[in-house]
Amino acid sequence: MLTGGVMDVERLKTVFRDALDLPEDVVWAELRYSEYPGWTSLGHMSLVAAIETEFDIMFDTDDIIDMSSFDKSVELVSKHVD
Amino acid sequence: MSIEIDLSGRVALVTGSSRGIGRAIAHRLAGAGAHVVLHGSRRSAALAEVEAEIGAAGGACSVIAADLGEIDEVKRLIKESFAVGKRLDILVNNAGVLSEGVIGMTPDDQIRHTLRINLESALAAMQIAARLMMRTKSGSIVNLGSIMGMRGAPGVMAYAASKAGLVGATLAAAKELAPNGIRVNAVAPGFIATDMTRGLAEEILAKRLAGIGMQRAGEPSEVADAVLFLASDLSRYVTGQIIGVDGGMVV
Repeated sequence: MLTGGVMDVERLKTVFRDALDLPEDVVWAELRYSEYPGWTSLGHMSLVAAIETEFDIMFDTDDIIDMSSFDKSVELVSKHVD
Repeated sequence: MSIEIDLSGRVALVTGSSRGIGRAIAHRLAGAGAHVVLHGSRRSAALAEVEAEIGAAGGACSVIAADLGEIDEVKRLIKESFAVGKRLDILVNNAGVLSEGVIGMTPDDQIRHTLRINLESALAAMQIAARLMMRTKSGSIVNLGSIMGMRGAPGVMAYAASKAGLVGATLAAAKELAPNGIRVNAVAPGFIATDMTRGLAEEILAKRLAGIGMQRAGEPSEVADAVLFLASDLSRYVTGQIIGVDGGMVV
């Protein structure tokens, strides 16, 4: 849920968990594209689709290429929903 | 047993749908119940006519103008098409320009323009459409190739290259998107009677007709029927295919 224009990080975490099948104890700060086994290029597109659906946004191609970590994703999604 | 093709509840974008094959495709898809997004480079009288015809026949459609020479415009077209019904089920990359010119005498700008409109814009459209289709894990993309892109012919090097490029894109995209439930196919029309082919020189026209097994030009509706098949669930297990609609044409 969005509150006061601030992106809900927990909501994004849920999308990540579902799309990449992450374990409960995942270390978010260390979650990076191509380093985590399930976060492949194909997985990336499914993840992007899931994020776009959840937040009703559309990324630019450059955003998708830049989305190299969970932290970066927070930043990019914030840019679109704020 | 009759087979009914039902596309109701689905949104289909047909690029270049003011005339010729695109127009026929728009009619077919709307006739099968899809909400069709009509597209032209501008809001022309021809486009308004198609809109009125579909409406009069009880179909549903929207109109979006976009210049496919600008990639940002292609992106806007796809996004606005999605916004129509919060979904995009069918993308028909039909818009194209016919480009004639013998080797050594084709201006570079003409080559660039042909590749931009026929190929680059279609690739950009597929990139965004595929992402939107991934949301529902389903979708059908149909690209309009050409027999020229499969077999080649004198005097159409740039055009043939653009259409051959679409064939390659179709084959690659079909493999990449199959796990996401998105099918990608193409039709390769032969000689179809449209405004585009009516502009051909007479000797070229006569030569083309002589090479057609069925001894006549095809109708836009005959291409549209193949597109309808590929867009619908009748072809639910078909992907990465190029269907020739050419009456047995040899070039």
